[in-house]
Amino acid sequence: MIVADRKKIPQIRDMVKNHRRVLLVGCGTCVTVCLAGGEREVGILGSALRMALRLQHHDVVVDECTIERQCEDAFIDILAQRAPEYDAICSLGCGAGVQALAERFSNIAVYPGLNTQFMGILESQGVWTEKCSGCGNCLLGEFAGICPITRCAKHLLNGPCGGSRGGKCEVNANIDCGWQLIHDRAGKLGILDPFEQIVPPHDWSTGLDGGPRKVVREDQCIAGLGPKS
Amino acid sequence: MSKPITSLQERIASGKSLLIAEISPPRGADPAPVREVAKRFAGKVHALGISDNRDRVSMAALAAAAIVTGEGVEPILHITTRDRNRIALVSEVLGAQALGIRNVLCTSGSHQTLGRFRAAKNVYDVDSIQLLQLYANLASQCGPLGEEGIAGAGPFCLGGVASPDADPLELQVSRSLKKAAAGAEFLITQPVFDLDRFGAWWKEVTRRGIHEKVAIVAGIQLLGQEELASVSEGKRHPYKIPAASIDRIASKGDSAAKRAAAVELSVETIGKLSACKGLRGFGICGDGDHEAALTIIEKSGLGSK
Repeated sequence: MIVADRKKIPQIRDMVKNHRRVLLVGCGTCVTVCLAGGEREVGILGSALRMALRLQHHDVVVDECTIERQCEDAFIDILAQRAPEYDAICSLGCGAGVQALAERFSNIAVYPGLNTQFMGILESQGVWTEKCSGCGNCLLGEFAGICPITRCAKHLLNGPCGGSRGGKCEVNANIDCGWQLIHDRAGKLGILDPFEQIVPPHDWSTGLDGGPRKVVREDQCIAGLGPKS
Repeated sequence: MSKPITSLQERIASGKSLLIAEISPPRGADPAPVREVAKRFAGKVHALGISDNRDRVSMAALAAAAIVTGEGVEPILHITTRDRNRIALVSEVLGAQALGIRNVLCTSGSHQTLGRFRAAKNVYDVDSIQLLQLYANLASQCGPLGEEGIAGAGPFCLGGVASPDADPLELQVSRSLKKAAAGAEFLITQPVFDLDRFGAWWKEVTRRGIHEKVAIVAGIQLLGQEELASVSEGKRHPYKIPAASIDRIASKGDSAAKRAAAVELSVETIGKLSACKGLRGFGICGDGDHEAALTIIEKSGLGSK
């Protein structure tokens, strides 16, 4: 899932303080699961934001709502009638959700209430970790199911750097060394031999380095309705 | 074998011992300090390594290497994959060749968050092994750049870094093997302080015959004030510094006594490592204190012949 966490209240307050009516919009998918932008978090932010604005004598109306999915226009429809009552929207969706709302409501200011972090998993209660960079060319089959691009701070494909110590990354002792994990799992699976071969340079053009990406499934497209370009 | 491309390459091929020193270019644009340092090392080492923005921004290693060359000292240009993509990396080495610099050490470099440039974006387009392979074959193939080989590019005398203290040992050893296969002629280890760990690593290196494929040089670094301070701050190092070594220096009174103890520790380490059969020599880094590096060379009897 996409993991995010909320911006600090003063930062959100400063973004919206010059507006008159602000609608906080939560999202019912990833950010609900990672406890950052679901209905509950919208409620908490709403109360805190109203208080923060009032303490600085900003006369701003803050209302709340949560939709099922901000990243799909069909779900944003539910806001179509209500949104024009506001001069600003603060989205508690991921970066995709924020931009989907901005595309839909071209006359309303849209702000992010969250910092979108990464694609990852719930490691333990209250702890999420990054697992995928969305590089567009999945290599997990060649690296024992552990991604060297995401889990190694230097995206190394030919083994660990000289900073791997005791299973931890040189960047931070709280980060597991991805290559130690690959080594341990490949060892258990008895597939360490291939790691003796030199892996050639990666083609990064399938990732963000190739420009913003688009997935088009012709078999799913409806004639006359898309893709947009 | 074709004519050696550098004196370092000739020395490697001769099987004789190697003595390398390493300096960091100054944090500024004045060439004078580089010239001064080069003069101090002239005739005393086989080559002078020029680090590439190790932990702070400094003069381009390529420019410093060219200045060093002008003083009659053969440089080893360090190039990290942290700050340049494959386009810039190839361009850089072509520029080096144009300036008469052919010894190139390929390394991934310390992560930028560990230096003073924490907020910078990294690159890591290729890794050090891929870079070695790219440089080694530049004249005949340049596939990673989507081009034919570059006529007249290279050859270079290529080197890399080996990491005796890093984990997992098995993969670190196989990385050294890959570097040799990719075209490295010499490997300089990260600074050695933990002799037991080095022994375990060396045993595995020699078991796999890596020392016969590539000249391995042990890195010796002066445990200077900055290094000691960072240890006491709890900063992580890619190499292990035993507590006894730190105490031995930290317990000394003034900075002169600490410096003398650090020089003594380096000389002792060289003495002990000299017993490793197959180890080709030493790479001395004074961590900014070039006179101390020269003292280590002199006291350990490593003087270049």
